[in-house]
Order: sequence, then structure tokens, then C-alpha cells
Amino acid sequence: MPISVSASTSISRSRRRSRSALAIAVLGTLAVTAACSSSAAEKSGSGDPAAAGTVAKQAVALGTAADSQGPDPAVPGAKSGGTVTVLEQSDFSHLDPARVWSSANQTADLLLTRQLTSYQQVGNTTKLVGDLATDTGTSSDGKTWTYHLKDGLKYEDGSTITAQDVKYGIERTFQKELSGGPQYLQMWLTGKTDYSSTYSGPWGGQDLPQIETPDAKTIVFHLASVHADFPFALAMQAYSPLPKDKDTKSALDQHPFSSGPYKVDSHDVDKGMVLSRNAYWDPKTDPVRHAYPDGWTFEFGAQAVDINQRLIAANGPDKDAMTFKVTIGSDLAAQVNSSPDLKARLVNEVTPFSEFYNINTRRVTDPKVRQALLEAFPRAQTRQLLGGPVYGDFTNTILSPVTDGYQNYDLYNVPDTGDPEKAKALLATTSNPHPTIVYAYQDDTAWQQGAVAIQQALQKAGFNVVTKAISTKNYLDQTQKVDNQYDLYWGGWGPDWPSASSVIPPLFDGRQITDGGGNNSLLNDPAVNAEIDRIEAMTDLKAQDTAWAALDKKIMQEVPIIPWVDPRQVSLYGPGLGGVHTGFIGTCYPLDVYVK
Amino acid sequence: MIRSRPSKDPTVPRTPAALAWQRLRADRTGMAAGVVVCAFFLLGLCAPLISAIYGKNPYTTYGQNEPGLLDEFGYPTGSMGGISGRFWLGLEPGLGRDVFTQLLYGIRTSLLISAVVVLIVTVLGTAVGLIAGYAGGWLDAGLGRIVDIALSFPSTLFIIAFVPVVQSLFVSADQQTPTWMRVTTLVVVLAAFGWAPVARLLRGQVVSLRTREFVEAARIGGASPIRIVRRELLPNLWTPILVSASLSVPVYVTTEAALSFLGAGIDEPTPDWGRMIHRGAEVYLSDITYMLIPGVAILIFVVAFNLLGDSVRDALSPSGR
Amino acid sequence: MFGYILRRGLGAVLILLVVSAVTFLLFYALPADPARLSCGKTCTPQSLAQIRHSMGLDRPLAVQYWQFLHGVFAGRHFDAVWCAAPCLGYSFVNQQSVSSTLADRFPATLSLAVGASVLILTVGVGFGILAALRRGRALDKQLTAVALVGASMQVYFLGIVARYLLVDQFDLLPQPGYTGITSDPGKWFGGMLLPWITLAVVSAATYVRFTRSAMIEAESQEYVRTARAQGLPPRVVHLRYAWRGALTLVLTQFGLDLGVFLGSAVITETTFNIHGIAQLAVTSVTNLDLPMITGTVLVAATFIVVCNTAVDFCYALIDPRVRL
Repeated sequence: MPISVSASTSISRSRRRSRSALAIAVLGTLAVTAACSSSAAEKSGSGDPAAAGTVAKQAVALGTAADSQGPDPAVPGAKSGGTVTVLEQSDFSHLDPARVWSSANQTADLLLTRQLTSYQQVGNTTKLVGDLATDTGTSSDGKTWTYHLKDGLKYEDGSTITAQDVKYGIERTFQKELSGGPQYLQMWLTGKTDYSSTYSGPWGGQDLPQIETPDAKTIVFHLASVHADFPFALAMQAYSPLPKDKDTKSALDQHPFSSGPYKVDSHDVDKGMVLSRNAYWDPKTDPVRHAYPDGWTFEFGAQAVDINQRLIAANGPDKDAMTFKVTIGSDLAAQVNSSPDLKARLVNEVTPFSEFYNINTRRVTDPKVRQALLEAFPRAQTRQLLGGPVYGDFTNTILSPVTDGYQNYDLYNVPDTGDPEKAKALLATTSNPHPTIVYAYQDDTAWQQGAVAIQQALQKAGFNVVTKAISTKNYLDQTQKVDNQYDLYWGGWGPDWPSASSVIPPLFDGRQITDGGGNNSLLNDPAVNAEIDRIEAMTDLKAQDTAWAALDKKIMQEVPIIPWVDPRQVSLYGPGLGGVHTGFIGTCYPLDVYVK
Repeated sequence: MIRSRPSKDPTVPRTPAALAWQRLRADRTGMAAGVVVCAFFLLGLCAPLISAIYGKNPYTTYGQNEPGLLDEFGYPTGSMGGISGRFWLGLEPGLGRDVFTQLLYGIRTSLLISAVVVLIVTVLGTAVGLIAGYAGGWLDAGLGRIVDIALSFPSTLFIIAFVPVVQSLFVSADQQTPTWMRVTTLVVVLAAFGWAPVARLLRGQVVSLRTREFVEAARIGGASPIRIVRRELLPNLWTPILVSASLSVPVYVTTEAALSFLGAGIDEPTPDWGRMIHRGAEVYLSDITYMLIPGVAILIFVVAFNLLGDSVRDALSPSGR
Repeated sequence: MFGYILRRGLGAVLILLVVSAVTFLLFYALPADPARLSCGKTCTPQSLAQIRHSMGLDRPLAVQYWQFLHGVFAGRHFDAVWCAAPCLGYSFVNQQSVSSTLADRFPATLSLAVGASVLILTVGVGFGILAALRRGRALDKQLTAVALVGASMQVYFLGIVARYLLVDQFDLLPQPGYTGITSDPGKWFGGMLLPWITLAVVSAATYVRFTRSAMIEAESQEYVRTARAQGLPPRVVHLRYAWRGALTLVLTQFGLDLGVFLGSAVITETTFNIHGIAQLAVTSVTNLDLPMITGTVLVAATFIVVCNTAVDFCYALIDPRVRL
């Protein structure tokens, strides 16, 4: 999954997401986090329940047909009306659902699209429920999945949403021109990674036979292999309905045709966007969306520091302002922490993302050397440069705590500041106690400083470190090349749904190694690959979850990555808003927001 | 005719240089500025010695190595950016390096780059100016157009855009960009635009000297062009050359800092004033001290250098005020 | 007169052609692949080939330059996209033509330039005249000293310190930033105030020094001495005669400074986060957006050449000898 990197002080975690509610509610405010960062509790990683209860672990269950009926249970105290202002650093790179995969774009499309299934968040409980569909789907063998649409589903022009539209929306994701979106359904339906060789999209007039629509309200999917988590994949915004005659092709990206509670009134690219109510959207059909505000005004282009200053000042219309993505940096953390007014309007929650450092297993072939890297790595020092506790919680695992089946463990037991002596001792047992490591980093201040910290820490353990700056824009391109010339580089991942099957296969299946792919440690272990196949063939989600957690630990024995942090979304919002929290995407969630 | 310098008062036996020195000595502001400038050069030169005595270096991340120096967000725990008896100018937020030694070593980076650039542009500019001014004709016209073109480039934009491109040309993917390479790139791009104004200035001076009697006399006397340039023209050009060179040092110090501020300057971990200010601008809300220290250092340096430049000009050409 | 203007104008066009050719050559002839740079992060071999083709990179450099020039005057196609004249290229990173992005950003830079110029000229020239009138007295010395310190200040330092004190600490000024003058004039003015003041402090100092010496110089001119000899009061002499002489020099300097404004605005726009043309240049470098980089460099060069030429024309109008 695509991660994007911004030129600002921290990486913008723009990949996608997963679930949620786990994304939990934080308990703590900054004070709690701050307190625990110095405590032994946090040293042992985020999994320690004592660590400010960072994460209330909770599985995302499949909801029933009753759960799937609208409307979405009301948010206590919420009322309708008003306009919310959203401040972002940059415009959404895509709004066309077929091209939407980053967390920011997905968050925007929450307001503009509906899917067959979606996540319902009530309090701390998240369920997958039928959204357009009456339930989360039925399948006898995990390969054939049938859905029925509800009554009263309408687009922004009042026309009815049909099964054929859902099929057309999915067909569009095959179209090469519409790049940027996820590829799960495309691969599962065709059974091929280069799915476009089988089907190249609807613009040429071809039909995708693997999806049947016997009538306007029934849709049947024929997958090439078993996928027990298919209902989760359908919840991705990329798989939204679109009537064929409303396909404006590339123009849809600026101005999507809405099936959701709002529609685009105007969109001035890179400057602003105005949304108003879709009068035809019926809340009684929708179990996952509230639409309390009458409208949304987006402003793009300011820097994070200016956005945060505006949210702090909250002058005039900024009283009702929020941001989906912008987090407060360490420069504001102390100020926010000392102000009860600001603390009262702060979102501070762990996201489903995780960040780690990839070790290029094709270049660093000796697992002992990789383990020494992990042991010497200055995890706390590098986190501090990006904001310390407000940046995220330390982790020792591949899976994030918000993944179903997550098991906490710590294989190597090194302090967060690294243990150069232990690493040195380990290196002494290898053929070369002074291996050269090329560390590639993004060329902006925080990461330049991170490179200094990493270089110093690894040198203490006996490594020769070459640091290599790559322009921020090119960083992922360069480090995601299969034949890259680096040994160590940052990486990040957000599961696409709360199951490890959207984490482990893309990150560690050796057969999925491609340029721009997710497996950037280039691990290709036949035993791991075989285990992935075995787990994916299971039809029982629960058993799958347990097996994935075991595989997590097994993979970490080979040290393909240095687990680092589960990032936090720490954002301010205006005092005039209520219902602001993070959602399953990991950003501030707009669907429960109301103007007080 | 041994010396044909035009002298205001040929009856005074002292050389013009001695006179200028005398005038400069009498200028108290100028002398004070000179002392400050010399102090900067000395501090830069002796940076390793001073940091050895002071017991710290600009590379060690004290704040990260020792708990308690920085808070959990990476800011110095002490007031005023962590200024203390141990860290005289405090600690850098984040990495926790020593600010005092960073500043000292930063002087070297700035002065080295500026001095080299000034040397190159002065030599190059003077050469072009002399040739154009003295030769005249098509050569003058041609060089004049080249100067026009060079002056028409938006140099700051161009340098920002060009530094990374040049960089990527010479450094392969798995090599670290060596610091000397970064420095060389900066020197080259700065010099590429800097010579043109000097050449234009010098050409004007040469054109006005060319028709003076003593040059005419030398030419009629059969002196070769090279001899005329060396013996007749150059000695009369020292004043503008010196003044322009001394006034450009602070210009290049600030330009280099500006490039680093914009991210096109010197890389980590080489200490650099501009990058300190860049980082300062990111953390100024929580730690304004880290912004003030390099900023004030540059300000003092530039004021002193400008004052000195003024005084040197006054001393060399007392009528010019 | 007409002949001179024609000659000078043609010269300016020629210089622009050379500048554009050199810029084009340097950026496009380098081994770095501009198509790759323009392709963005979701770059597939197909889209790469497509961009290479639509940028015209599969043709010889001279042809590319010719197409570029042709686009400037007549517009050109980038695949399905028509880029109207003056077409400076098409940014594949932003999916927008370079000229429309530049036009978008222009008002911010213009606001910066106009407001700052007004402040710089009134403050700089005003204090310069004052210093000249009080030459040698305490006020002159104080003004000269302040001007020296001001001229030694850097926008990136003074701007942030001023912002810290005036905005963040004491809340005397609004947060700096650009808002369209048409959308909210009050916000526009408030947001630009700090950038203007900062620029004025840094640049006005030069004009104080410059005006002062130009005035003093003018006073030694014969026409001023004649005026004084005629028994006109000193104030009248200063303001009516000496000032006139100084004005030409100040305006010349101003014209040249305005020319390089776009380049120096990089720092101001970055410091205050104003989305102008100069900041666009910096972001394009970060994004490795080659068409946008060349576009901004060329616009900035045009600015310089136009201003220089305008100064020459004014000179020619005032002083007929120049035309020779």
C-alpha cells in the first residue's frame, strides 16, 4: 500500500487504514502519554496494558442483518446544522473512488460515497455491517459471495443505486488510467496479480463475467480462491457504485458523483472545496453515517504549523474547524499539555498504521547482522526527533494492536534507546564484525537529524554507516525498488481492514515482491510463503487470526524489519465542534462530527 | 616613468597604501569593526582548539546520550534553550548537540565558502572586466552581452533548482554525498552568477582609465598590452576590487545561510549557520533561543563586515564619501 | 528615440531567448530523466513512456526547445490536454499547465511586491532625505546607524523573530499568510502586514543610505548650487532641486531591485508561508517538477529583463545622451 511521504517535518501517513475502534480512545491525554513515556511501562512497548492503556484491544466483528439497518445510532448530544471547516496541508490527491487509497482521500470519500459494506462505530465498538447491502454477504464456500441491495438508495441526482452500478464501479478499478487504488478485488476476482491481462476495464466496452447482476438489487461475486475476509475488502472506498452514464472518466477525480450524504458544490483544485447535503441520501438506509452538519468547507495549502495556530486561535468560523490529517508536532505538545482549554479539544489516539525500518534482506543476508541492527537501533532517539510520545507508541511486533488476533510479544528485549554492546557482541560472532550499512532517508530536517542519530548509534555497535539522502518526493519510489542499493530504510503500513491478511501477505510474501510493492524488506522465505497460503485458505476468520499472530512472531525471528512505532493521530479541533475522534481509517473521522 | 599612479599630493613621500592605513587607523568605528571581523576569523580557525579546551564537539548528541538534558518532546529541560555552565549556549532541540561548538564550526563553513567564492568571483570578474574594458570593440560588446545574460538569471531560484540536480549527477545511489562535494557544488553555483557584477564594475573603471594620459603615454611608449594592464591599470583598480570584495563577503555568508535555510545548502552533520536557523524556524515557538543564537551571530558578523567595508572604502578614497 | 527603444527591446528579447535556451538545456539535457521526475510516485512503465512522449522527450533536444518556444507563442498539446499560449509546459505532478499555476500564484507575489515597495519607498526615501537634510547631526548619525543594522538583517531571521514577538507572544498582528484581496480585503491586509514590515525593515535601510548619498551628491551639482546662489531658502533648494536629482537614481535602483524581487521573494514567501511564485519554485524543486521549475525560472528571468529594460527606457527619456 502506498504510503506517502510529505515534505513536512513528519511523514504523512497516508496509507490506509484499517479498523478502528480500536483505534481507540485514548485514554490519555498528553499528560498521561508524557508520563508513561518515561515509565518502564512504555519501555516494554505499546502492548503493555499498563502503558496508559494505549489501546483497548477489540476485535471487529461481522454485524448481523439487523445491525445493517439504518439509521446509525445517534451520537449523544449531537444536533444538525452548521458548517464545518476542514483545514488540510494539501488537496486530496484523488476523489474518484477507483483511485482512492490513501487515508486522507478515503476520509474525504466517506462523505461522498457508499459501499456494499462499511464499518459502524458506536462508542468503542466497531462492527462491519451491510451499507448498501442488507448484510455483510453470504457465501457457502468463501468463493461465491451474494449481496442484496436495500430499498431507497439514491445518488445525488435522485436516481436509484443499482447492482449494475456497483459492478460498474468495481469494473472501473481495472482501468489502467485510473491508477492509485487498491488491487484486492481485481486480483481475487481474476486470480492474477496482473489482472488487467484478463480484463482491462469497462471503457473498451468489455464486461467482467466474474460479477453477476441477475437483477437490479442482487450482485454475485465469483472469486478465484477462498477469501474469508471478502466482506472487509468490499468496505474499501475504491469499490463504490457509479452509473455508467455518469462516468466522466478523469474529470470524476475532481468532482465525484455522490452516493453519500454530501455532494461536491465546488472544487477549486489545491485551494478549496465546498460540500453540501445530498438531499436524496436517506439516513434510514444508512447504518454507518451521520450527517449532522449542513455543509463542509475545505481549505487547502497552509502549512501544519499555521493550521494548528488557526485551530488554537479558533477565531470566527475557525471555531467550527477541524483537520483530518494534520497532527500537532512536538513544538506544540508542551503548550497543548499545559492548557486545559486545548486539551479539551484534542484528538489523541493510536492509528491502525505502523511504522518500521526495513532491512534489505537481499543485501543483509545474515540474520545475525539484522538482529544486531535491531538491537543497536536508536528507536527512542529517532522517535523523539519526530515529536516523542505524540508521534506514536513503540511496538515490537509486525501487527498493530488494532488488528484482529494481535498478540503482543518482545523477542529481543532491547531497551528503546538500543543496546550497542549487545549488538557488538552479536556482530563479533559473525564473519564481519564491521559490516557497512547504507541507510536511506528522506531529505528533510527531521529525517536528516534522524540519520545523524542512527549513524551514531549503529557506529557504536561497530557498523560502518553510509547515510544517503533521497528527495522526499522520490523516497518511496527509490526504496520500493526491488534492486535498490540500500540496506536500511523507513517503511510504513496501514492494514486495509482489521485483519492480518491485509498486512502480512503484502509485506512478507516473497512472491509479491515487485517495484513499488509492499514487501520492501524483500523477504522471500519458502516456509513463510507456504504458511501464508495455508492461512489464506482457511474459511474460519477466528482461526485465521490466531494463525496470523503466530506467523507474525515467526517472521520476526528472521528480523526483516525493525518494528518502531504505532503512530498516533494527535489533532486539535475548534471548540464549536463535537463528536471528533479518529475512525477506522486512522484520521479524524468526519461522520460523527456535529456543530454545537 | 616608474609609477604613474595618480596621486593627490605627489609631494608627500608616503605611499597611498600607507596613507590609507593611517586613515583607517584613525577611524574608530572601522577599527572596532575590524577587531570583530578578525575575532570571527580567529574563532573559526581555532574552533577545534577552543572546543578541545571547552571539552565538547559539535557532533556528539549529548541530549540523546544523557537522560535529563532534553524533555520527552526533545526540548532542552533548562530555561533559555538549556544554557548552563556546561553548555554555554544551550543544546539543540531534538538531537541535543552543543550549540556553542556548532556555532564555532558553523563559522568555518560559512567563511570558507564565502572566502572561496569571493576569491573566484573577484579574480574572474576582474579578468573579464579588464579584457572587456581594455580591448573594447567586439570583444567588449560580446563579453558585455554575456554579462547581461548572466545578470538576467534569477540566481537564487536557479541555484536552489540546480544544486540537487548537480548533486545527483556525481553521486551514485549507495554512496554518501561527500561534504566537499556539497561545498564545491555551492561554490561553483554561487561563483557562476557572482562574477558578472564584478566584471561590469571593473569594466567601467577600466574604460575610464583607458583614455587617461598615463595609459596613453605608456601605449605610445610601446608598452605591450599585458604590461599596460599590469603596470598601469591594475594598480589603479585595487580600490574598487578591494571594496567590492570586502562588501561581498557578508553577502555570500548570508546567501549561503539563505540557501541552507531553504534546504539547498550544507548537509547534516556539518555544522552550518543557515541550517541552524532553518531548524530554529521550526522550533521557534518552543525554543526561540535556538533561533536567536545563530541569527544574532550572523547579524553581528554582517554589521561588522559592512562597517569595515565602509571604512576601508573611505580610507582608500577619502573623497568618495 | 524610437530607434533606441526598438534596439533595446530587441536586445531584451534576445537575452530572454538565450536565458530560456540555457535553462532548458541545463535542466533537460542532464542525465536525470525529466519524465521520471514528472511521473510521480504511482509511476508505471506505460505512464512513463506516455509522459516521455507527451513531454516530447523522445525527440532531439533542439526540436524540444523549438516546441517549447512554439508553445510559448502559440500553445501546444500535451496529449489530450490543450495548453494555451503562453504555454510554459505542463506539470504532470500537478496535472495542470505551468502558466495557469503561475497565474494562480501571481497575486500573492504581486501583493507582497506592491505593499513592500510602498513601505520601502516611503520609509526609505523619507528617512534618507531627512538624514541628508540633517547631514552630520545626531539624527543623521542615528538614522545611518539604524539603516546599517537594518540592511544587515536577514528576512529569515528578522521575520521569524518578529513573528514570535508580534504575533505569537503579544498578539499585536494577525498570523501572516495570503488571502485573496477580493475574497477578504481585511484578512488580505492583515496577513500581509508582517511580511511587508519585515521586507521594509530589511530593504528600506538600503534606500535610506542610497537616498542620503544621492541627495548629498546632487547638492554638489551645479544647478543646485546655482539655485542656492540665487538666494532660495535651503529647504526649497533641498526639496525642489536636490531631491529631483536624487529621484532618478533612487528610481533606477528601485527598478533594478524590483527585477530581482521574485528571486529574493523565495525567502520571504518561505518564511511567511505565502503561496506565491517563488514558493512555487521551491516546492517544485522538492517535487522534482521539472516543467514547473523551468517555468518559474523563466518567469523570474523575464521579470528581471523587463525591469532592466524599463529602467533603460526611463533613462533614455530623461537623459537623451544615453540614446547615443
